[in-house]
Amino acid sequence: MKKYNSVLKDALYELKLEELDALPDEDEIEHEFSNKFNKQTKKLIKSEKSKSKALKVAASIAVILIISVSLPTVNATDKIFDFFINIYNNVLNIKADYYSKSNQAHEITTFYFLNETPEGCRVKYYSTVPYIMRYQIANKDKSIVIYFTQSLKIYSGENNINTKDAYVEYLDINSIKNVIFIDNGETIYCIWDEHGYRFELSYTSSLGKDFLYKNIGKLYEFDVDNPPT
Amino acid sequence: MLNFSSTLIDTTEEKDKFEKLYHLYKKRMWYVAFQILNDPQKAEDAVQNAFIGIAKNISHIDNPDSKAAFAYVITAAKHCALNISAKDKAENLIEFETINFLDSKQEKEITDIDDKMLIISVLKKIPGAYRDLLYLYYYEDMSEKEIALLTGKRYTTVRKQISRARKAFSETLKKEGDIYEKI
Repeated sequence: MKKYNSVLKDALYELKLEELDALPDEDEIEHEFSNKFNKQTKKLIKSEKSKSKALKVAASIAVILIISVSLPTVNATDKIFDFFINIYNNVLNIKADYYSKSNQAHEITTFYFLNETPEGCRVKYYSTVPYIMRYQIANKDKSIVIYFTQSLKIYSGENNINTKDAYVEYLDINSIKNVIFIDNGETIYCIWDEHGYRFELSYTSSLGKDFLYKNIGKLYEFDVDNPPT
Repeated sequence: MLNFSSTLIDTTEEKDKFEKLYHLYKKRMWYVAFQILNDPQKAEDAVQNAFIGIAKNISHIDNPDSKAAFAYVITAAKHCALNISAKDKAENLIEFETINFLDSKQEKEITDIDDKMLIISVLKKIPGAYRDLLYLYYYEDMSEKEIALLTGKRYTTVRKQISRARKAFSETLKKEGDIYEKI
């Protein structure tokens, strides 16, 4: 089916321009944004920039990839669970198998949270859209930062994870098989399936593997109207 | 620490685009949100939410200086403000209504019509929020999922609202078309 015709498109655009023309110029608006707004937006821009910088730096570093010998090879396209994993140029690429699973639910219906968070850590950020839920948890001085994500297996998002100088292995943790574990010395990253959803956890390496054993396979269900704080 | 979670913006080019949008339009985005919310702080929250939605869909913007980019960010801000306003008024119950999708005949009516004056006249008569969704869906060629990400609405809400927008368009077109034919 044709989604639009050019006349409808033109008409919509014409009306939109009328709407824009009615707006004052940027410098005519006297509003001064609050410190909170400026701080948060700068943080948003800065965090996106630093992510890019980190990836660039990583790309220039020599390659040492350690994969546990007992593990299935992941240097070619390898279907694990319901998503595809590739490693090329030392970047682990995880992509959901969206199309073949398109008959699945399109919304998270049951939300899960970590069974145990380190002492002194609190939720700093929480957001949810129909197919993905994200949490950022940290202590006061941010020496411990944890990112926890729940998504649909069919979520069409894609992760590119630098595996240079990283230790990569599959683990069986509690009742959960094939947890992908990556430790680059600074951060531990894990991805696994539980309760029919895909979960990701990344956190400061100093917390060690113990943190995984306290949580993977032990996630608890919470009411979305009353999320953990 | 590196956030290993899915990134919102992937390339330096996209980050520069994002930053440019912020500097070019943030006050006008706030202005549009303020018109709806009449509360400066809430309007800032709406702008903040809009920027998160824009970051998630940054690939849709080719040139931050273009009118299309301006339209895009203003529409995002407007809908983020409408979300806050709807939450304030506890209007979210609307979510549970049944979605009535247009049949293929009605869809054809929308996509086949080629009289621009008539279309403009019809579009002016339907609610602005519906017109915005049609703009994103038909002009920007965004999927319902992308619109949900941009506007911070639930996917099902966007589907339902687009469906209503098309229905409103179709029904107004029918009425307007009758009058038009008589003229």
